[in-house]
Amino acid sequence: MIKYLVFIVCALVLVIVLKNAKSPIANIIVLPISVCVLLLCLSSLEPTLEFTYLLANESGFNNEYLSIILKCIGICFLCSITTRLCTDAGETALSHSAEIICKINIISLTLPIYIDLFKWIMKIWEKL
Amino acid sequence: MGKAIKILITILLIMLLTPNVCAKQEGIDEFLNIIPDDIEIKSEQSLIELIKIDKLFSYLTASFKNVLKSCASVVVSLCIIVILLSVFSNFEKNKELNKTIDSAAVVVAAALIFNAVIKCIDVCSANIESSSVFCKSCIPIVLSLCVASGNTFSAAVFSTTISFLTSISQTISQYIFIPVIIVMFCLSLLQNTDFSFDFLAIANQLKKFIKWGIGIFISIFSISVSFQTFLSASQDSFVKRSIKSAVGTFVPVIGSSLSAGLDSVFAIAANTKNTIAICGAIVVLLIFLNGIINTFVYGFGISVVKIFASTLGVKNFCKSLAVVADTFYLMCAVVSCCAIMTIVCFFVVCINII
Repeated sequence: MIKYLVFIVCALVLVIVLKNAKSPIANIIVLPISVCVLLLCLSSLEPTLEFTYLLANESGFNNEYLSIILKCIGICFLCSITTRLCTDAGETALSHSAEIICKINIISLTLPIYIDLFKWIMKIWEKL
Repeated sequence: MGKAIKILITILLIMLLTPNVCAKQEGIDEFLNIIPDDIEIKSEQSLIELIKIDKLFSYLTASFKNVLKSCASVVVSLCIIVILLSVFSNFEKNKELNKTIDSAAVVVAAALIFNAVIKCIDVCSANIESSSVFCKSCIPIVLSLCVASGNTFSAAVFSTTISFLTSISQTISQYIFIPVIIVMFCLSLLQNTDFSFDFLAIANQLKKFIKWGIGIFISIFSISVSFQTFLSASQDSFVKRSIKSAVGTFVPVIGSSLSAGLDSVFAIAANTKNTIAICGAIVVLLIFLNGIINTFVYGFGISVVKIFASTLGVKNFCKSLAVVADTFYLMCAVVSCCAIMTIVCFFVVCINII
């Protein structure tokens, strides 16, 4: 974990130096750094995800549903990083667009479950 | 207590529950009907045979074990969702994103719980049906015993009440209470969508409606049955006295002896009738116990997850879980209401408590 933090602090120093030098790439350089940090974090998340899948398998939690919820959380994290980058760059409209795209993606991911629920509800009404 | 420790406790709970969940679960169909459809009760003995304690007890314990397993599975799955949501809300303070992920989580949770809801509705309907089959099969023997013990009016009240009860409990529970409960469940799903409308307020109103409905229904039924029984008891005592005086007056020589002997004949028939009533009440209780256990266990399990969700600060998910838990508790109340009314029928009308 320390190496990631050191990497972030180094990146911060670089950005501050570039900003003081009024370099045009100061804002742009934040984007690849954020992506690199995210990718590094993802590798350390692997054991936690494996443990979650193990618990889910043991309990009979439908793996399809677990994948959906994990994908939703992943999309939200990515969206969060994107919106913050946009806000830092002063582009609020782009930040809102990112949020909308995130919502649309989550809705399309959960749509099969909504359809399943609708079918089950209809099944219950038919039974009564 | 720190959030990390709370999450750790939740994970420990999950790990404690999972070994029980791994075992293979039996199909639910074998736990639906306790009373066979072609049941015929001819005597007191056949009724006592029906409530063979070892058979029924093993049936109920097997059913309870099965419910616990499937409930533990649902609880563990919901706890995993709660932990994921808690971790996400801890890192992400953007309200819009939190709301979106909450709605996705509620839909997944609903999909996980829905099978349990369907199962509980099936069990409740099967219980009400079994009870009506049993009550209808009891009518002939109870009627003959009531008439033999001189309680002609009680016999009339019993047959009317049982017919009314079996039809009304089936109609009201299946066409009013259970649909309203399903609507409540659907409203809890809608709560976490992006609408600014407060769906939970409607769900709470529906909950009040069902609570009051059950209360009023059970009160009206109990009062009317008690009143009818009170009237029929006074009529029956008048009929008994008339029979005794008629036998004493019109039968020559042995009339007075026969009149005195009639009391013992009435007492023997009344005793058999009381045994039938007690056995009948036990059978009814056992029939409904399965549904009560099913609904209560699921309600309790979801309440436990709700407590964890509120401890970990997942508020929106917690609200939806509260409504879902109420859905199960209300189903439990509907089944209990039917059970109480049938037991009241057996006790008050057959034994003439009043």
